Amino acid sequence: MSKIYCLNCGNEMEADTKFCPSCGAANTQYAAAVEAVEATFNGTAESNVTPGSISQDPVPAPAPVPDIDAGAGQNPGTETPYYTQQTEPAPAQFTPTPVPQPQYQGSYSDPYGQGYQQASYGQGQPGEEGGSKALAIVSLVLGIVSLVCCCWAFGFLGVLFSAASVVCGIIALAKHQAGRGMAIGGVICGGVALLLALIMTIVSLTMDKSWAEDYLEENYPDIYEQIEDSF
Amino acid sequence: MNPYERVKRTDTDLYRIGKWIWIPVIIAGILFAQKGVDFISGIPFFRCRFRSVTGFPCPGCGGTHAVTALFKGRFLESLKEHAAVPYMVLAYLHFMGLYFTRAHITKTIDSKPVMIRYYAYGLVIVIFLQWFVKLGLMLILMFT
Repeated sequence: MSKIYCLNCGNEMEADTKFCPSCGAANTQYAAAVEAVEATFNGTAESNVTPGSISQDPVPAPAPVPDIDAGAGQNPGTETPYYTQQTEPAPAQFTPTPVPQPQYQGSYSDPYGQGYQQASYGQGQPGEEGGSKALAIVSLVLGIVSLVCCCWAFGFLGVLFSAASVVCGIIALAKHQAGRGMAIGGVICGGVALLLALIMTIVSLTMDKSWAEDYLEENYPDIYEQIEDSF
Repeated sequence: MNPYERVKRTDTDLYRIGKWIWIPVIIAGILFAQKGVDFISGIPFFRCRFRSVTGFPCPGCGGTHAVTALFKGRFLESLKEHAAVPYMVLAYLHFMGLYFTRAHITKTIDSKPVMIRYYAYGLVIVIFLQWFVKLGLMLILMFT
């Protein structure tokens, strides 16, 4: 087997070695050569088996092999695979060239086999807000619901939803999970709803009728009737 | 982003739901505006406890009237009663239009997802804003 030189470190190695035993870089010469050879021979084979070519030309002429070595001082027609000839430079002229590494689009946390974390929608990036947004979303939704329905069921629904919203929002904020804005919104909405529910409870326990209601009923009976009708 | 990740996205799920949800919503809304509002107005469960004990409106006050006015075709009256109801209709139309444009016309939905949370932030702002306006108007009426 012919020898080639690693493009990364210049180490001498077998031509069909996939990775350099010295530096571990991928043998791109071998992979590119294999792909080129396979493409060449596959293309020839496919052109030979087409029905048209069989019926019109039972003995097709062999497809011309690309003369890759033309101009390189090599002898065309030799049985040695061309990639070994091409990738075997003279040691004196060899200059190691850094192999461009492919750009990985995800978050490649550990290049030595410790595992990588693939970025996906809805999950936090390493080093930023992590985890799921579920708690923040639940907090915001419950906060909006508690804000709108805080007066239903004599305030019971408001207390229930607002307390759940505040708890979910605080947990999401404390754990530095994703969706910080939604968690803050949920805590604000739930907090306001909880405050209204508390006011409602205190006022209903301390007085039969509110001072505002008394004032309106006494001074603006038409507005009072409108408010009584609205819900 | 590959198409598989787009399938998992919240905006895609909501767009799929939104393509058909308007049918039952319109039917239920019309039925509610015609019959349901009279029915629930007599149930103490739905009466505003906050208004009855304090005299001030709560952030949800006027919502039922706003829904009724909306499904009777009176958009401005709905806006006056509770601005969050017409806001949700406009937000729905905006979201559907934006997703459709990015998915089928500009073909940028894979790289530019529709941010649902901004609609939620807007809803919170509208709820608080209309509540503050109502409280302010009521205070002006009381002290002038």
